[in-house]
Amino acid sequence: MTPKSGDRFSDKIMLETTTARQRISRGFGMKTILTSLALLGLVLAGTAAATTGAIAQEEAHSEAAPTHFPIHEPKEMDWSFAGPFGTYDKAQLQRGLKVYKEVCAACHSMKLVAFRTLEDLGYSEAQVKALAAEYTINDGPNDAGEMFDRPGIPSDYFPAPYPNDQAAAAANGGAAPPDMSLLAKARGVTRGFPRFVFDIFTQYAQGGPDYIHSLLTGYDEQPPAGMEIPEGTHYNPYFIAGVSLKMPNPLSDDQVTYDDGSPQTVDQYSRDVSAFLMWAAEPHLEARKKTGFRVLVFLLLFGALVYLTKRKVWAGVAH
Amino acid sequence: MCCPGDRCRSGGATVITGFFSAIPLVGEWIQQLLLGGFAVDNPTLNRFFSLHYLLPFMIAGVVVLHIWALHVVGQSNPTGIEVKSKTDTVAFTPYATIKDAFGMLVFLFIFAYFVFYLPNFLGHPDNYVVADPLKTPAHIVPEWYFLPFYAILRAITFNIGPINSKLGGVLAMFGSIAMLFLVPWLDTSKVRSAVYRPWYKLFFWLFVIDAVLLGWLGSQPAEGSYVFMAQMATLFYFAFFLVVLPVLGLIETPRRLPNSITEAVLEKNKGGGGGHPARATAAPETKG
Repeated sequence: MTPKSGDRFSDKIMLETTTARQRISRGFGMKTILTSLALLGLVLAGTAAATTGAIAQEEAHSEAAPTHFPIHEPKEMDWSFAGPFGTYDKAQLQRGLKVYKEVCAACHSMKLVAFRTLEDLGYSEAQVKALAAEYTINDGPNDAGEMFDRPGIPSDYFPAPYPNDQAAAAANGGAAPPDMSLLAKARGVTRGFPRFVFDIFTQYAQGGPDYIHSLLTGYDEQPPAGMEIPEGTHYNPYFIAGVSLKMPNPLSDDQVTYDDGSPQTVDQYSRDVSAFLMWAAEPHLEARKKTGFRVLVFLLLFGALVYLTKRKVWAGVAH
Repeated sequence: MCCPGDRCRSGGATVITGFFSAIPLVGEWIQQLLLGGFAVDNPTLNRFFSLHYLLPFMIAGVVVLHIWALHVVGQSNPTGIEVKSKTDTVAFTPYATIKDAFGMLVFLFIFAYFVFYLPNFLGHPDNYVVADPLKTPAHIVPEWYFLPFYAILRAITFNIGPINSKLGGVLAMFGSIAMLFLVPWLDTSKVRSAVYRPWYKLFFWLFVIDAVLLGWLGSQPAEGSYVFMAQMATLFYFAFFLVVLPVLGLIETPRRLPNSITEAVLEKNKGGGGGHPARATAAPETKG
């Protein structure tokens, strides 16, 4: 809730109250009901104003002790998969996969994504087979009732770096790194009124990748003077649930080698891995948008024909 | 032991079954019966899935009742005046059929837009997090169409005599829906249409604003001045049904009613006003 929308809100109510009053002054009777109604409106407007005041006060509160998170809104980036005709940039997804494999996968699992689906990224069947074989999968039990290790095959899923959540939490200072399969859709900062109304028309649905990208590039910022950062956590003004998080800055420039000549910067890495995670969370996004366009065009044409037919049918009847 | 389902819904199931625990004496028992245990688990999900596949069939049954009612009492109309002669009506097909077909296509267009381009717009990111019975989400936000009722539920923060705030909230929430069923007895006005009731029109729009306000309050945390605002809005919600509807019908002077639907239509077409050319009532259009 931003103070701005609070203002609009109280304006609306005050407007309503004035209308009610104007109607009273016309002298219709039922004065008592309307007066009490106007009073109710005034009370509501008053509380709305009070809320706005309280929120403004909270925001003016010392920078060192913020009460609303994230401190900074996620930066809105240009994504190739945004908008009605959005498609994934396969080269970017391949780079993102590389970042995931070499950096994120050390701690984060991605257990809902199968190797075979990586063909979507532009890899051939043989390349996917080779990629899967790099992993060791614990399988079984065999005829002797024992679990055994074997190289991965395309139908396997990305193996988790830790055997269970408890082990993951124990190895990471008490917070288990979340699974990344659906992360790009499981994170997002509330847009608030009136932005969520505009989002309907701009089709903004990239809150997840924007958030991940902002978080990954947000470690550079220094906490304001006097802010207390709990031990074992790292300040990040883009973190959704507090001033700092357990995950340290995972990326640095030139950490991952790109073969296609793309800049090897933290910003580029974060963009690529965010796009890759969006693909992991929604591999059929392109098909969804493509089908949607056809459906809407059909409905528009059919709707226009039905409308004209309706006009024709009703033309001879007073209504 | 893991519970399939996402974090929000499992939190929602806890809250919904919690409503029943507010009933005196048998509440706990009913809650456990619904949950199939002491907490949300697989039996709960099975029950809830069964309920949710069954509901569409029940709605289909109500559609049958709707069609029956349509055949028995006929369609209502914006003037709220009984049909008096043949000229008051038109045939269902093609007139109503084609109009409804167009309306349905407009709805489908908007629906498809959301389905294909903004499938997560009305959802919550937490719906993509696997449920964990040991971790309850900080804020449970219900689906948008439940928000006004959620605000009413949380507005009752005080005890009323023997009714504690929890039971009071649940009663107020279910009561807010029950009000709709009582409208035929609460509305004392002889005039059926708001078109001829200027004061009722005003209160109706205030009620709409109140419902939207409650919806917004339902999405906000229940703290500080939000609680007071929700209480005031809840008060108006119930006052609309229990005070405004019965009293207004008795004391309001409605505008003059037309004698028949035909007269109302002719009057409307004649009095275009403001530069609109008066449309000939039965002139065939040249279009097409």
